[in-house]
Amino acid sequence: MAIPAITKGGLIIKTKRKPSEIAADVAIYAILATIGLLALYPLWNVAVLALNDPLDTLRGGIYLWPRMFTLNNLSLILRQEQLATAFKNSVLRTGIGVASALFFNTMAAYVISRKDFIFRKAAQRLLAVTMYVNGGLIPYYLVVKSVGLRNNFLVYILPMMFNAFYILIIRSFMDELPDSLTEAARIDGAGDFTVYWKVVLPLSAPVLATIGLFIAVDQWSQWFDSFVFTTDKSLTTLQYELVKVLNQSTSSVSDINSLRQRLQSGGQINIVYTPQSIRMAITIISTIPIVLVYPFIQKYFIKGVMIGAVKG
Amino acid sequence: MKKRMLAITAMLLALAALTSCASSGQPQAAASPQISNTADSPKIEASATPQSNSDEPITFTMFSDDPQQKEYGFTGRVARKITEKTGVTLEIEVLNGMDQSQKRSVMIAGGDFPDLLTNVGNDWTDGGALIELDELIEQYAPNIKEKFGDSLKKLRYEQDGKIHFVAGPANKPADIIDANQCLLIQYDVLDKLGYPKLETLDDVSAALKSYLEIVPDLDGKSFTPWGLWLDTWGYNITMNNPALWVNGFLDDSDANVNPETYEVTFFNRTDYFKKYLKWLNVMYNENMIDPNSFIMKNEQMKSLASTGRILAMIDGTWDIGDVEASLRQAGMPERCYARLPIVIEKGVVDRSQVTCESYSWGVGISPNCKDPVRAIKFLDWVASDEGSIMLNWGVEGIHYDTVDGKRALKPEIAEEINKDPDFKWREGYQYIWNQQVGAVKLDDGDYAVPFNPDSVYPNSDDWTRKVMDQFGIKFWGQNFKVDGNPNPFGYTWSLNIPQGSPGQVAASKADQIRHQLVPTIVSAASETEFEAKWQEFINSLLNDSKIEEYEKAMTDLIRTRMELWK
Repeated sequence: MAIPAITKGGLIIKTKRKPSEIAADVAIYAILATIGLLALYPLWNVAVLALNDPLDTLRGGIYLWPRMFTLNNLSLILRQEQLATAFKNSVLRTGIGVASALFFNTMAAYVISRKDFIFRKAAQRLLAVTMYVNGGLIPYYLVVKSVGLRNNFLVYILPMMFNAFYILIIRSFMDELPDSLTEAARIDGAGDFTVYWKVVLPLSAPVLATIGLFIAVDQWSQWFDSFVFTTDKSLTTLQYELVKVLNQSTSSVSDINSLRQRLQSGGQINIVYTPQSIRMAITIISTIPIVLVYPFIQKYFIKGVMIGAVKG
Repeated sequence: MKKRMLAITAMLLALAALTSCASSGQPQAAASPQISNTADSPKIEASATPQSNSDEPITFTMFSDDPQQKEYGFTGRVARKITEKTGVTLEIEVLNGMDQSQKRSVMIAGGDFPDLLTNVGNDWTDGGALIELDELIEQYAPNIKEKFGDSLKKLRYEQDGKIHFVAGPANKPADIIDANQCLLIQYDVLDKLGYPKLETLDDVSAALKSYLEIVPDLDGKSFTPWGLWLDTWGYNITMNNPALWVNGFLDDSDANVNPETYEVTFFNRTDYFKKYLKWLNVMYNENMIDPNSFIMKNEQMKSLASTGRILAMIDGTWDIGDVEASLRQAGMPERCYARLPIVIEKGVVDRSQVTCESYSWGVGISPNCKDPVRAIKFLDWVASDEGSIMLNWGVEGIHYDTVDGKRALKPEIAEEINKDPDFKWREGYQYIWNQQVGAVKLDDGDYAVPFNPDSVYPNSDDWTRKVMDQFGIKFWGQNFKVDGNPNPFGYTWSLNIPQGSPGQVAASKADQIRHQLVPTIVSAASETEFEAKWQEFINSLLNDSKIEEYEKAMTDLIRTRMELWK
């Protein structure tokens, strides 16, 4: 919405403009630029600190440029033995996870969006219940264990394939689609699956893009399931590896008892890396993939909105 | 937190087990250990596993509750040598994630224990993760028996009187290399004043004042003469513990124990603590303490100290490791800290570095262990001098050489260790406890660890050597007496009051109260205000936190332990 408005403003400049309008534009741009900088600066500062020597960072006073440039912080993280495996698993779980979750969630949503489905209300209520009530970690763990998902790649995929919240969002989008479309398809002899696959799904592109993005972010940033359900190192994920590095750098100062324990064990506290620098480096490393991918998804997302609008 | 999680776990599990048994009638073999309480914790008879052949290769899975460990495969040069010597290969999983208590709970709930658990304490025993070791040690572990000697009984758990884990055998160092927590005062302060004798806190405040007359600021920035940081556990190490040290106490944390009756008084309500607060109060009113100290976080303190602006404080030497490294890197070695004992008034004897004997964590064997006898034999090898050298020094010829009967790390190895924090783990050092505390000597007369008294002075910078020369010492530990009489009951902090019990609730409430009220006492403007604020603090401890519950619980625990250790 904002973009056409600005273009229009630009056209007006060439014809005739009141000074007050120009002043307003200048003010608006100044405010927006400030807000933009305010949003950008923390990220910039994180990058600067990630590239600065940890011991130098400790002394503070680093704002715009690294004072003692180093790549050590980043290399400490990139040197982790499991990183390649972890990256592969993260990409796989995100890819497979998004595809399978979209397929199953939309199918479920299609079913409950059908007005001729008898148990529509009941099914919806049942779904809604799971959004508010859950079994807690230990029962969940025991279930996962008893069905053999422990140390199994499917533990990343199966539990996330069905999400009541996403189903309800998709359903409410599908509710908006005109009934006449599905009716027309039926008259042409389409069965339920054909209607879902050939008519409803293509029209739901915008919501697919949104939910797909949600699921991708869920999958990409999930580390807790690797932590709890896997012990097999070949199943580790990128986020879990990063959490581990982060934790290793901070746990020595998390509480007095762990310190005592460490002291009793005579553990020498390593002074080459400080928790702060590790944190910054991790932030940069885990943000980069999202920053790289997001513009493309966003493009598709806007396109999706257009298609939906035109066809609707 | 840990304990509470365990309790909740056990409850939930009991429920889960009940319901699932009722519905399906399936055997709950895996889920049963966690519901058993300590009284009938699983017991493995040594005779039940006759297959132990100590040469056959065997792989033990091991779990470590120390997130600082790194998970490298057991393939380093040290690790391979260990396998060669013992036939044992370890497959290590480290508990590392953000909310570790949750992983502990599911492990306990699922009964999914590996063969060995390391860095674990008796909270794991409560969860049924650790078998009794008494008989195994008696039959198969001559080294452990020898190393511990009479102290073996001190490993017993207060709740059932049995041993569930083996700690590092050498918690009784002959000497200390560096102090633990003590007075830290900048080299430059001592140097500019001609190394005055600092015995009491008043000597320190006088010294700081005369220093400020000579050097009023640092490049235009004012000094914080006395450093404190009271955020979270900073209170413990820069407020509570300093008051213990200056009064000649050991690290008994919150407990002030009557040595005759073992009756406990909450330390923060004793007159000893009040005396220390009075000194701080005077310092505060002379602008020697930054008001921000009361809410300062660890990182902020470090930032201030590494710009050289904290002249003196009582803190952990381990808390300023990165600070000193940063100061040296910035070319300000004269701002690093000398370590000294300090007391509140003449006549008090410093005991801040006296080590007490108590064990709160170690390596244990789980009920799932495929071969407990082999496991205890392996632990016994680790406890031996041979094992100790292997895990601390590495392999002779590869990691260290023996010169004139003394072990010396190869320079390239020492450099790797300093440069790369992962090096130890990659090589396979230090997977298990290994006598690395202080200046322990092995039977061959040489030190057990590379970081030992001989290595400190030659590896120090010029300023440090200059200051050490003034004190006539070669390592900071020599400034302290370590032979003061230790507690017969060990450290009180190694005694756990059960989570959720009245005593523990009282202690945690008292912790909130002291974080709030102690700063108001220190910052009191007058004598009368100081007294009034102190009284308010005491009343709040007694009435709001019911601190007497804590005192009672701690007294009981100490008495139980003394019974057990008789």
